[in-house]
Amino acid sequence: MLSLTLRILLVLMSILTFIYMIRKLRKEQLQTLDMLFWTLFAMTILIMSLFPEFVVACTDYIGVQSSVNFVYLVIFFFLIIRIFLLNVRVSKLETKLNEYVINMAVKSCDEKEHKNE
Amino acid sequence: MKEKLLLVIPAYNEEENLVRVVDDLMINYPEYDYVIVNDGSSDRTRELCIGHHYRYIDYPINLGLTSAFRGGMYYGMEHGYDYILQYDGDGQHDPSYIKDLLECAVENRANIIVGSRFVQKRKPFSARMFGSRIITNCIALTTGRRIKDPTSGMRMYDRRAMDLIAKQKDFGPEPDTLAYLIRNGLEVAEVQVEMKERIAGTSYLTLTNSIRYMLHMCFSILVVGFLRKKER
Repeated sequence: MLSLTLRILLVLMSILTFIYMIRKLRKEQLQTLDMLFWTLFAMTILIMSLFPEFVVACTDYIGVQSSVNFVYLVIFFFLIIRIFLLNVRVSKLETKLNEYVINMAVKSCDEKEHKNE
Repeated sequence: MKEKLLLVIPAYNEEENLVRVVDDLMINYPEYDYVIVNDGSSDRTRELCIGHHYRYIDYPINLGLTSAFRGGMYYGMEHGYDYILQYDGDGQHDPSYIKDLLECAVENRANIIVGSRFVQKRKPFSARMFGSRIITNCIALTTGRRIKDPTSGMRMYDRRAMDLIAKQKDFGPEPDTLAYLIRNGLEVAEVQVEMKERIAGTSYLTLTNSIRYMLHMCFSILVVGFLRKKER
């Protein structure tokens, strides 16, 4: 069973996450695709806190010992996906950055040689 | 007064189409300036630009359509163009309609002119057009404007549109940008055009890509657009 305190905490968490994201979006520090993910996350937390019967049902079905653990499970799941996706993006960025630096360096070397001729 | 128009031609791996498309412009429509944006092509796009002495901006790596378009837009802004027109490098756009768009821009004083396939013609009920219908309805829902061909790549922007797009760093030539701009007071007009099917090369749109694109657009139009800062 989810305690009232926990449910209130989850609602707060959901709302605060959403407000924080909106601020970041307006400051151009967050992009549309990321907004989608965090919105889904906030919505899921909100739904879990507003419909604890649903959480209890899932807990019993899966065989997790306590409902709170199921909430944790869901949050971990989101975090793991997020970390993986960030990993992919960072790898792409690293590759792009390296290629760009190499390209610029080689170009500027050519320019220097042209100046010397 | 002569309006300065710049054709922005984003090009990613378009070696099979580029020469045909650009030569057509240079020979038959020399009154329009153009700039090709080579988006880090891995084929001979860049070599073709050099060999044929085309005007081109060269990205050393691939950044995507949004960045390619923005590059051409910044170039146009810096060189004092009144209008820019996104013109596809794959030959699907028909240059004979450019003057219609320009005329509409000057007469209607609209900020954005969309070269639309469905102003007078009916939109077919095919799988491809299903997505287009959804986007049209999303835009209509949030702005009240019914844009019949929101995914058309043939769009003309004036200085005011360029200034607004330049301010939001992740805005690209996409329908969600259109929806945001309409809600910030810009006028959009549609002009009937014809488009050809792609002759050579491959499009980057597959089924999974298309679905992801649709979801992204809908979410952006219906939710994110309202959360951004509004322009005064």
